[in-house]
Amino acid sequence: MTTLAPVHCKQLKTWTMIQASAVAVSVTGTLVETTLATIALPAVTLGPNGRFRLWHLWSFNNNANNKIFRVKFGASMIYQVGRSTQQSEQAFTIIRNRNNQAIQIGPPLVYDGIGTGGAAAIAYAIDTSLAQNITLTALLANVGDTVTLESYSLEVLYGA
Amino acid sequence: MPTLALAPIHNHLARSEYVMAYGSVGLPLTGTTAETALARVSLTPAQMGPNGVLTITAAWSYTNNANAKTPRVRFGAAGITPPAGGLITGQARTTQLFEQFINLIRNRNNLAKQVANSPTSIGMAVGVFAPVSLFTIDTSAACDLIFTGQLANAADTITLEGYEVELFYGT
Repeated sequence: MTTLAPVHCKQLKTWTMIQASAVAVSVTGTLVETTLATIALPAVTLGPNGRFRLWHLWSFNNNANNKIFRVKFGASMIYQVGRSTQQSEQAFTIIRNRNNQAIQIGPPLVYDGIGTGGAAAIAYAIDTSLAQNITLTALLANVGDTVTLESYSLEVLYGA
Repeated sequence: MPTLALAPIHNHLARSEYVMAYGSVGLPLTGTTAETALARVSLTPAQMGPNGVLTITAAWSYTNNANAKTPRVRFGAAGITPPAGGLITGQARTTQLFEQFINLIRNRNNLAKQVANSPTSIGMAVGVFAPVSLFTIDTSAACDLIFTGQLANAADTITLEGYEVELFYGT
């Protein structure tokens, strides 16, 4: 991706791929929440009506222990699920600026992107006029388990 | 952004999808049981092309109770008002609080023939007990896509929290 891509995508009204990876990153052997990926969102990348769409694919071992994976935007949690006897999960998370660079609306935390959710939409107040990080983390309940972030991609749509 | 008027031409050349409309201010409906348009996206004549595709993403919130709240997406001639227009999706919700769906409308090698998911689906599902939808909407003329809400009880609220409409021109 060239550094000019966001400018062109803004003019073309297309989603811009900010960062993507399919290199597996795992955590095991610790009960400390561990960051598996960090995506830097530059200041004013979204615009007052912009949004981002984060796709994330996870795998984990199948047993009775809880394995938690999370996505954080700045200091706010925007996605969190705990799984045990499943083996993989893919989700996409859309956060939309609400006519203000510092006001957002997002889905419930436990929500994979499609269908009905068991909780309400969540309002955020993250200042996207400043640079922010999006982090993907995992937390184990048993050090013998493994959570792997298999891939992710962050797309941004600038909204004036 | 003054360059946006050129976007469709560039996207044709680049064979890329472009976001022709979006919104996220939050558009609530309450106080009526009539199906009501909350947002409208207009297509110019032949903007899709004979094999074009519209991809529609929408997020909704609902009052959580036993009453039906129905989000719909309709596609039809310019100026349509509900209940006119082909029904792209529309399933009543009751005790849910939030929903997001993605629907695709594809021209079928003809500006006036479309295929889409069943309106009983949210666009993606393992199995749907209903056939796909076939439409004969003439996209050689101007068309509108509308997002509507309808309440069974006027005291409830349905909110279009956000949406994106992406267009791929298909020759």
